[in-house]
Amino acid sequence: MKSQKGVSLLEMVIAMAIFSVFIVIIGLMTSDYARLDRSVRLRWFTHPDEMAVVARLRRDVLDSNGYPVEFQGKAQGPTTLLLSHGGGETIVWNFEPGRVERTEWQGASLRTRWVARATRSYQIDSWEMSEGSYAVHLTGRTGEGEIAIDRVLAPRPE
Amino acid sequence: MSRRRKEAGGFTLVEVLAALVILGIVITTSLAVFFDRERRIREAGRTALAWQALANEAEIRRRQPFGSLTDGAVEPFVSSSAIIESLEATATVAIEEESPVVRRLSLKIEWGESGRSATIDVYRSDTGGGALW
Repeated sequence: MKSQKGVSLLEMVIAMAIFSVFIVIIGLMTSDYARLDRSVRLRWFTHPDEMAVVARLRRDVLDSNGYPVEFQGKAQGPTTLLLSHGGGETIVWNFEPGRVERTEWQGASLRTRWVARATRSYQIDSWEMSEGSYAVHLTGRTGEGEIAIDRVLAPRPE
Repeated sequence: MSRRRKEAGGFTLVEVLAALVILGIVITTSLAVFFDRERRIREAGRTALAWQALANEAEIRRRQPFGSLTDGAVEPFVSSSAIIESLEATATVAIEEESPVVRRLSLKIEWGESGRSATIDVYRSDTGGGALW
C-alpha cells in the first residue's frame, strides 16, 4: 500500500484548502484594484473625454462675453451653462451624470452637437471675481463623493 | 532505513522549510508592490488636485487689479477651498516687486505629511487698467 506513492485524501484536502486561501487573497486584491481604479482622481488624465470637457469648456468660457439667463427653453442652473459668444452665437452645456452635451447655436439654428460619455457627475456654479465679473466654477466628484475636478474658468478680460 | 525513506517518497523538513521561505518571499513582495501601487495612485491623485488649485488661483490672480498687489504680502488662496480642505493643504501667494511695473506672484501649495509641494509663478505687469496681463 505504501509503495503506491499516491496522495491521501487528507493531503489532497489540505492542499486544496491552502490553494483556496491564495485564490481568495488574490480575488480580494483584484477587486480592491478595480475599486481603486474606478475611484481615483487621476482618471481625469486618462479618460480623453474628461480632459476634453474641461478643455472645451475653458475655451468656451474664455471666448464668452456674457451669460444669457435663458435660451431655447433652457435656463442657467447647476447642470446647464449658457454662454454668449457675440454675433448671435450661443453655446449650451448640459451636464448629466455620466454624460455631457455641448451644442453650438447660431441664432435659433443648431450648428454643432458634441457629446462626452462616461464622464463624472459635474456641477457648475458662478464664482465672483475681485473686479466684479463672474467666472464659471466646475466641480466633479468620484463615485465615493471625493472631489476630483475643481476648476475656476474665467472669461477673457475686456 | 535509507531504502525505506526513499520508498516513502515524502519531503524532508529542510525541503518543506525551503519551500515555505520561498513562498513567504513571493507573498511579501507581492503585498509590498500592491500597497506601494495604491500609495502612488493616491499621491498622484492628490498632486493632480494640487495643480488644479494652482491653475484656479492663477486664473483669479491674473485678473486682480494691479494696484492691489502689495509688495511683500503673503496671502492665502482665495479659490479652491474644497481642494485645500480635501488635501489638508497650506496654500499661499507671495507677492514681490520685480520692478515698479512688474509684480511676481509665487503660488505655492503644500500638502501631505511628507511635505509635498507644487509652485508656479505668475508675472503681472501694470497696464494702466488695460486688458493686457
